[in-house]
Amino acid sequence: MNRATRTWIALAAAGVVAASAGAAPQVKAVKALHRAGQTFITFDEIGPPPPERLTWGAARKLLDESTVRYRLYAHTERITAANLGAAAMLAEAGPLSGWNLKGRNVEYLIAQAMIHPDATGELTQNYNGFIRTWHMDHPRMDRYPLERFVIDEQAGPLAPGRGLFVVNPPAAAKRYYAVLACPDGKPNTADVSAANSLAEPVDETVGVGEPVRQGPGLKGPNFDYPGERTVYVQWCNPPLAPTSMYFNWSVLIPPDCAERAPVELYFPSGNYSHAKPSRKLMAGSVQIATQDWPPSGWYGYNDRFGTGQDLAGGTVRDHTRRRIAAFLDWAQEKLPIDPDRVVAVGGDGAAQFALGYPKRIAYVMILGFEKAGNVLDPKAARRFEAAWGPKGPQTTDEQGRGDWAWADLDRLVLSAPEADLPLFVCRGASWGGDKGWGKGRGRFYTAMKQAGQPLFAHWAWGGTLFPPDRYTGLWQGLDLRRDSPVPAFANSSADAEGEGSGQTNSVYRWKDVSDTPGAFEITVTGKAGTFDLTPRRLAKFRARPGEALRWEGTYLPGPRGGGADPVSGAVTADEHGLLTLKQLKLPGEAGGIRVRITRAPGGQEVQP
Amino acid sequence: MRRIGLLTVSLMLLATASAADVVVGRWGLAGRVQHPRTLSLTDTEEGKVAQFDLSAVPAKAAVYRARLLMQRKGGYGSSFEVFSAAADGKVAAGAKALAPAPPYCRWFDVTDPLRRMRKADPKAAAFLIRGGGYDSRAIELEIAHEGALAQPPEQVKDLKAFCRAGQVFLTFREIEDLSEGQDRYPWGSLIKKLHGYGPDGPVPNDDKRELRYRVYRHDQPITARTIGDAELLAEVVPGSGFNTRIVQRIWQGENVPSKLDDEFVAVRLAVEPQRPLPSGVGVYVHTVRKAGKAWYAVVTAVNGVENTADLSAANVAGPVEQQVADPEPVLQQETFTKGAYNRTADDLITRRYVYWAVPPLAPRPLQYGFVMQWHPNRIAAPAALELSHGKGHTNEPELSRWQRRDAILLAGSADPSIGFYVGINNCQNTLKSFRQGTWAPWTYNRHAKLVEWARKAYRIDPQQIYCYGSHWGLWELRHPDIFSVFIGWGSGELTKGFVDWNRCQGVWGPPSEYAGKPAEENPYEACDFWKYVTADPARPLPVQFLIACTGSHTSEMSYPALPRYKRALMDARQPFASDIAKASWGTRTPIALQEYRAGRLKILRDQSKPAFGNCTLDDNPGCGDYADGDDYGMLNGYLLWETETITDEPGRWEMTVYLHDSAPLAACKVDLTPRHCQKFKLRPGAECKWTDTAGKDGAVIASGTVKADPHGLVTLRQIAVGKERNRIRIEAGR
Repeated sequence: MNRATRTWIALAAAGVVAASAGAAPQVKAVKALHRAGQTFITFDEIGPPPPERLTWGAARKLLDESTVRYRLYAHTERITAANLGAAAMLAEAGPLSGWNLKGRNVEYLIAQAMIHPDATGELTQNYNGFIRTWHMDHPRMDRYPLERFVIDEQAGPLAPGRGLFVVNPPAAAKRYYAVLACPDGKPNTADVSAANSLAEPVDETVGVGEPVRQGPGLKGPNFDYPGERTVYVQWCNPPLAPTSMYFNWSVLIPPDCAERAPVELYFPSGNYSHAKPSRKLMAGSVQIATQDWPPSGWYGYNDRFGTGQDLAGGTVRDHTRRRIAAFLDWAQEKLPIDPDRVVAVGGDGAAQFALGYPKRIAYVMILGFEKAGNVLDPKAARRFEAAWGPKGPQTTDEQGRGDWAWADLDRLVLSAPEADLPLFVCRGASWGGDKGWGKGRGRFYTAMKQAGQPLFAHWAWGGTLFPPDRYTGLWQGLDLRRDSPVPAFANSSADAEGEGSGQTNSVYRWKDVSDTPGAFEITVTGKAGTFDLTPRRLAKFRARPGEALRWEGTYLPGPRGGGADPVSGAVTADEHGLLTLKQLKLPGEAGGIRVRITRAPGGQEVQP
Repeated sequence: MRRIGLLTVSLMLLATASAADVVVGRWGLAGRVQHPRTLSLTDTEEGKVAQFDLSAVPAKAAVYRARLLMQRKGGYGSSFEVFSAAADGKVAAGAKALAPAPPYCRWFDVTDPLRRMRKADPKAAAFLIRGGGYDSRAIELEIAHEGALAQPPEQVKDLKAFCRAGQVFLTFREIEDLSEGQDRYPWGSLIKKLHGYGPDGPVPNDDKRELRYRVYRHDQPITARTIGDAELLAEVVPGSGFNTRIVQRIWQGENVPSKLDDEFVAVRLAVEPQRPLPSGVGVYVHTVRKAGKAWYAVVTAVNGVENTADLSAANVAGPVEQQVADPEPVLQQETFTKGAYNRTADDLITRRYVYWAVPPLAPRPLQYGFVMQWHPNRIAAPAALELSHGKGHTNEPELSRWQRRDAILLAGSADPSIGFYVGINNCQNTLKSFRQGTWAPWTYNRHAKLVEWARKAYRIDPQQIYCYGSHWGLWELRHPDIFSVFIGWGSGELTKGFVDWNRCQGVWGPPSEYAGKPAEENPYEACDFWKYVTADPARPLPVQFLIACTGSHTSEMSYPALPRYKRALMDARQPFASDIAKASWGTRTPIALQEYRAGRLKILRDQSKPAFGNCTLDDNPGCGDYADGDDYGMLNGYLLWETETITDEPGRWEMTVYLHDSAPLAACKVDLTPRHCQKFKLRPGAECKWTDTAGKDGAVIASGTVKADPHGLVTLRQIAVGKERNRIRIEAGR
């Protein structure tokens, strides 16, 4: 940090305005912009403007030292000193609200270190795990060059020294806004003029707002996935956030992008962020990634979050999942994506979103569940307490669940067996995995199979990922969409546990799926043995709870022409209308089994 | 009359001198010294002063040789310097430090300083030692002086000497036979008699007495009278006839140290092809630096006391007619292995050689093993030659991962402690520190010499010499004049993986040790191949196939270095293909390497090659963060070219390039830069026309103009290349 920056911090922290020494400082040049249900109010902060280039270290120092605050007021009438008392105080902010402080990311630090480490051999520290120790508040982050927000793409970034409030009005109306400086924590209510109070009202609508393109995202160094990565910022207010918050996103559009490209909705793990997803599985996909900062466990926050109130007794809501869904809604309109082919990719976050919004997701690619730092890790409890409040019955979510139950992925699965979850293709040990070297079967995998949900997992030697084909986008030859029927396998005799063999259901493939009102058919191939089969995500073939149906299985010739005699039987739908064929046999000499489920004579179709 | 008197006096003096022996003794604190308690050590502001009481040396006795013997303590991070001092320990202003005596640098030759000191005071000698890193209690002064030798030790016998290819091979019968007269002696018995073993030979057990054999050279016959003036070449330990570099270990598991096989028959060196030395015979090999006649003697020394009296034909050899020449390796053993299942194509001939090397082919005089191996029914004539580094975890030749079955394999060996198959700091096993030592590419120098030898000794195609470098060592890239292809991991920077980094500091010392040294003597600079590639894109490099072991190893070696190096190759438009290997499963092998290994892609040194880059079928190795990018994949993985149809003429270059059938798409887009052009040379800025002709029907699918860059390189950007083959033609404008 140079001398000029240090001087600026000292003056700005004290709210010193050189031109008006002696007078109480006040904000100037208040302006408003309304778009898609969101109003952006900008203003000149008091004190000297920051330099054009500002690091997180300098910003952090100012934020630590500054006593200056800004308050946003709204009124149906133009706000003056006289009617200020009748205006609603909507929000309070500190300095540098026009800067994208949360845009900082470890990916930038890593990229820089790959080119210019601070010292020879630096990257080798901690068995090459040094870069994993960096995080949003790590001292090394101080060097991060902050960007200023763009609220209007045509206008470009806000000028240094411009402050920003973003509100989502509760109703369509005309509203006036005023911003007051609070140099020492007390608002300067005497000085209310056209400089800090809008002369004209803002004609507002109701909506969740639209993400705003900020500029090019991080690329490289060395090698990266082809395409253009762009950073967006999504400003959120309830119900997408407990209070006014913003979140960064990155969107990578591949070269020669199709008009309706599949989406890889990427959920970073560990200390990684939205800035540069580590993996992209399909060449033609649009990749979308967001941050979860402050950490919400990819679920949401206590509604008292950010208010200064005690979180105990508050209600945790799924803000994060909702804002991601809102972003997808926007992306469906503005980006060349196919909403039927959204693949959730990542770790715990991908699972959490897919469990909450299963109908949004075609299938889930789990690159690896978090081994440490997740909600089950006592060492990470403080992070989640900060978002949700203390773990216990006193803090519940909207459904009345306490004890952070909303974050227990296995309980979420078991609590709604009727929900048709997307296929989970997982690498590595289960969420909440078993203790023991090489073991991977664990709480989530067990729950998925118990609930008859589609799961495909491999954890031997750390696990092999079975990704979609990079160029066709097909997964194991299948065009899996959010409305594609999928089989859920369970109780497979081929399941294995252990360092060198751990997997469940990964030996099975399927094809030729037919879903009609009168029948469901599927061909299953794979390793010889037995398994249970539960058809999921059926759009047309539905069964009533307790309905009796018939099934038959015919075997395909094996590589040596062998097969087996057809099999058949009856099956009764459970209380949710789910059908499970128990212990279907796949003989080694057969090339697969063609399963057909039909209604029993006299059975009536169920309308979806 | 006066002249007769002078002559008489002279004869009397000569007679007196000839009557005296050369006596070798040691002065020090205690231990194996003949004059204990004759050393006093004083710490001063200048350093430690070592003062010797030499009262036992007759005042007027001639001093033939004096050696200050010291031992390092700890690693090579600490330096010390020795100065000859006045009796009071003072050192003259501007005095230079004594240098350890080359080539072994394990002692200081203080003959001249001692002679000067004795002029001032024949009973005292003093040295000032500045710095640290030595054992002060082990300081000894060994003096060979005129005197009466009492109780000389038993003398060696049967000394034989011959000169071949610039090296004098000396063999002699030791006074103690470690192998008790048995030519086939089990390692388990041998090791019990030793303190240990190393690449320099057995480490003797000196608990009872220190037995050594000292090798002298003189340009006159060596006798008891002349040995004082002979050059002490070396001290040879007992058991020098054993090749301790070859031992056999028993694998005990991944995380358990392997065990030495006690039943293994200890290997003996051969100085004549395939004739191992018999039991009880020691060996020393001297590399000749000056042609002419020379005499050699080997004498026994026990606790430093030499038998300088018994010098006869039994332990003196000469004259040896010496020639200066490039040393040649000595064949130790040839074996023939019948192919498995009687498939004659897999018959195997293995020749094990030993090569005695000296600087600059080795950091110090040392013997190295290497192996020549081939399948007699597979090799072409002339054959390709593979120089192999092995996997780099042993000093000895490794015979795994042979790349081409039709090539002759030359599996070299590393310098002890494995300096990345390039070189170590030559301070190791000497009194020098890292700072005082010198780094040089000893290993490469030696291998280059062996390649040169192999070209003469075997029928090798000089256009098809390639290197399998495994993980460590890229120095061969600097020699496109020798190597057409380099296959290895591509760890361009050794400072980014913790295993590499730790080894760097172990064998080179930390980077700070090279501050102020020229870049070519700084391994951190010289072995930074990212810099080397980036510094000059015009520099021709061998074709590189960069393929790592399974991903689990790239994390510990140097994953952060791999993408950066490959990016540099791509930006410099160098010819390469690479895998990406981070996952334990799914390592991919670029098709070009597969074809090269199968002998279907014949890459010649002096033939133009295509440098591909930014292929749309490339996978993503990421930024260097192990978590970033694809777990496995390839760069330029499916691209091939025809080597038989290349046109490389002044003004015109043509090549047929294509995608292998296994490529996931029928076509790709890729950058293409002609490299290693022999005749197609462009001046910077020269304008060229190009066409891309696809398929059998010869349709031009793209064309354009392009300018040569400042290096005279021309790059066609994102041209279409498919499985149907594309003929690329570039013509220089007039």
